[in-house]
Amino acid sequence: MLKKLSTLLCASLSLGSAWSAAPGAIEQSKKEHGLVIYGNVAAENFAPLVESFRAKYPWITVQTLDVGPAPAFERYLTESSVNRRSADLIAAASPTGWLRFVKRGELEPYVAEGNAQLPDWSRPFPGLYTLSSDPLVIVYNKLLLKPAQQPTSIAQLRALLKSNPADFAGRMTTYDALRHPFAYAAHWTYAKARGEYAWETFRELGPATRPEGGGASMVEKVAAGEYTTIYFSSPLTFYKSMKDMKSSPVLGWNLIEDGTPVMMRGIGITKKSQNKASAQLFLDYVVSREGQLAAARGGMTPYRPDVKPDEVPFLTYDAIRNRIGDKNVLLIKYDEEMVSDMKRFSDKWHAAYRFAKP
Amino acid sequence: MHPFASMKPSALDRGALIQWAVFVFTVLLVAAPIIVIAVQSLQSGPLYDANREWTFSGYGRLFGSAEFRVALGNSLALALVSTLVATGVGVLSSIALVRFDLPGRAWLEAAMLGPIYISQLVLALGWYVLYGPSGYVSLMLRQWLGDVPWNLASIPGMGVLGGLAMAPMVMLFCTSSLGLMDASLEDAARSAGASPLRVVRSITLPLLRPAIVYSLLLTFVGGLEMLSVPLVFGWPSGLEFFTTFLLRETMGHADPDYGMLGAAALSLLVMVALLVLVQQRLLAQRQRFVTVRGKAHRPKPIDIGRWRWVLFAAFVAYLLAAVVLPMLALVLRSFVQYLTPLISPWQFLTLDHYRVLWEQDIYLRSIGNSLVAAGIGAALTTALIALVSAVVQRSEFRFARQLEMVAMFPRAVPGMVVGIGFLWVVLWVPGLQLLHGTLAIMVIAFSMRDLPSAYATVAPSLLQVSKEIDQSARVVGASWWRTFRSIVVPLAKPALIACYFVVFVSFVKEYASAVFLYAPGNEVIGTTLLSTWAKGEVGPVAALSAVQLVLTLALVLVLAWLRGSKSRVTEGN
Repeated sequence: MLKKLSTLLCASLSLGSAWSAAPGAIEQSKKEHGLVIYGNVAAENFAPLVESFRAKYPWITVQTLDVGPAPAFERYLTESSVNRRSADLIAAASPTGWLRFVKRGELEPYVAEGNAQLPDWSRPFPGLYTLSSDPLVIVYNKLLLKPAQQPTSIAQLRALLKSNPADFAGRMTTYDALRHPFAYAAHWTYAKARGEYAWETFRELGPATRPEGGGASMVEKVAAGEYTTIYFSSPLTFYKSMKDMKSSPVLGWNLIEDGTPVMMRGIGITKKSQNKASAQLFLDYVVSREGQLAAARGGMTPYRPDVKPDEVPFLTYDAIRNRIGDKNVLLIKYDEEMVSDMKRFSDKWHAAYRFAKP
Repeated sequence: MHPFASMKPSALDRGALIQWAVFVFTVLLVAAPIIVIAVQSLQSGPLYDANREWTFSGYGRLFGSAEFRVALGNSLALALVSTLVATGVGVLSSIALVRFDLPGRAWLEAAMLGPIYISQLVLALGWYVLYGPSGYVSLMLRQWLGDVPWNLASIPGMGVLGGLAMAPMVMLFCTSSLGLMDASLEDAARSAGASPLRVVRSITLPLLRPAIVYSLLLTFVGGLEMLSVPLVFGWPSGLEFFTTFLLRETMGHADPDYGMLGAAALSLLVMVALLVLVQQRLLAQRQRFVTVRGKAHRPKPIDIGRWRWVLFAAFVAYLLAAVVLPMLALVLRSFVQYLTPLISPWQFLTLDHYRVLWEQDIYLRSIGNSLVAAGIGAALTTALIALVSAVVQRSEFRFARQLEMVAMFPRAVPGMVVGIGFLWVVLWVPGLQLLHGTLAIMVIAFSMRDLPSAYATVAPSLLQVSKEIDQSARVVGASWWRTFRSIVVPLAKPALIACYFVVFVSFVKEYASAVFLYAPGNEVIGTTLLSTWAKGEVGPVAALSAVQLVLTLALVLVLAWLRGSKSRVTEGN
């Protein structure tokens, strides 16, 4: 019996080592056909990471397609079911999408190099890793809002709506939780973490908010002046303005001091990928220190403890914790309840956000 | 020896064979997507699925869907408003331009017709940048007045925009109709003491009735199948239309309801085709209105005194507001980081958006693909249409009239229906799967779309060439095919070249059918504009629009130059 168990253990161990960045992966990747990545990261944000990866492995071409958080999975499932070329990796901020994907057994349970050095929360399922941990912040128009009106917390935003309705009523926007899983996960986690206070907030801000689907278009509208404020905005979408943040006369941003949702961008290899060696090399690179630094240059927020705040243009996960305190970091986790709760939450949320469009 | 004795039977056969081949090919090209849609609309599952059965349930689900009924109602309302606007603007401005002695008439007419060459999508984007909810003018007005006096993200607002987009089409038709009309009737009324307004009301408008009816139907159809304005203005505000419903139901789901989609596409097609049929019926009775005769004198424009300057100013203001400023704003938007009345745009001059076009593969690839598709597709379409015109007009082919009808039929097929149809053709017909997501299938679909405009460009000039010329060629023993190559094609060369450019411009502009047919790696300008717009990246969208504008402008200039040199040649003769 013991012998049987030990052979089983041995088999699984050897299987494990066969999966992790095998020495043959580099040779094998040269015979493969490059990488296709589906997700909801814009090409521009991906560019520095892809560039530095390709400097290391010039023979691996990388095509990134920003198709949105839900289609990233759906498109892979449709295409791979008829054996057409599809994504080798998916890089999407969509907890519910990943939960279903993992359940369907479509994720390759690959163990990345340096697995042990990564925070536990960043690798929730075998094969699922984290590309970045992006805080969802408040973005505002500096030309329209005087410094005293530039919100630093949800509590302040609620007070401002009451005291300055001209600048806030109908002129705030946020992600529409009914439109896609990214938006849903952000609002759901905020409600879960803050309970009745969150629902009070939704009921107060909701009727004065015009929710939108796309992050970049929200930023565009704040810059133009249609809206004054976004709450729960992804930093990737205003990254370009952020690069010269100090000099930007139009856009400003703040961490939400009384509760900043932090979105994990999940990344993993698809089961039916035909270019697994290349995909493994890419995943190893993404979670490495070097890869995290490259991702940061594209506006993403690194989470490896060995990446220091002064090494990146924006923030790191630890820097966020230091600034607002652990109790105000609302990490958006892969919570099964998020899937089962969808109908109830959406209805309740829609009652508050009547301008939302399902 | 009898001249016909030299005609070998084999030569005759070859001619007939080619004529049959042209006929069969054209019918297949036009009918295949429609048949597939019709069959699909009566199936329970996707056509490539073996476990499906014949059923009407797709129609049941379609008309039972509340979403669809709302979308259909919105589309009908949009079509109605845009029809009224387009016809009003088009008819009145063509009467003013053709009949009144406005300063700079030729120049104004060209400027009013110009937007025909601009993609409706680019026009809509320009309007959005200027007059949309976060548009420059809207926000400026809000600063002054405290509120934006219009809401373009409403059905009346979008109807006005749709109408403005289609007004040049109405104008084109009315000006040519007015140009053919005998102006002596109006002169007679003037001599009898009627005021200019009275002349317009009692003579010009009634004579223009067929043209107006035609325009009404044309723009109603255009409003029904319009995708650009509903996508740019309606989608963000949650308004759904027939076309956006089709797009969302096909592309937005991993597992689309094929039966219902087929039913929706076929319903749209039938509605549009019926309207086009009505239009042809009405045009058939046009004999009543024939006033084209040998004209005794060159029509003299009516003198309207001081009003000519008022009208001139109105035209200039309209052109500035509806076309020139929106296009300039779009180009300006492509060169600045922010475009907002809050702060001077000159502080934010940047080439970043063009750098993005240059650095991110998708943009250059789209431009390249558009040019390749247009270059090859325009050549193929022109070649096909040369053959079709020759068979219709220069042969004794039995089904010549039917061939002409088939070639003109795509007018009645909305672009999105063409896209869905060809998508399903390649998914369903064994062996054609290879074409899925390739540039080739887009070339085929675009060609089908452009058959009518290509035919309309080539056919009239062939009609002008006397049949005696090719009859004499036949008499001296040339086969039909030889006559085609040595007589018809050389004579029609200017028209064929013009046709090439007309089709080329149209390919570069196309997006409605392409949204269903492209795949990663095979994007064209139109599809990339849409997908980048959907992500909210306005800067790159503006830059890509500017590229498309410059491309079309260059092509239109070539076309104008060709037409100019052609008329010089004829005058020289």
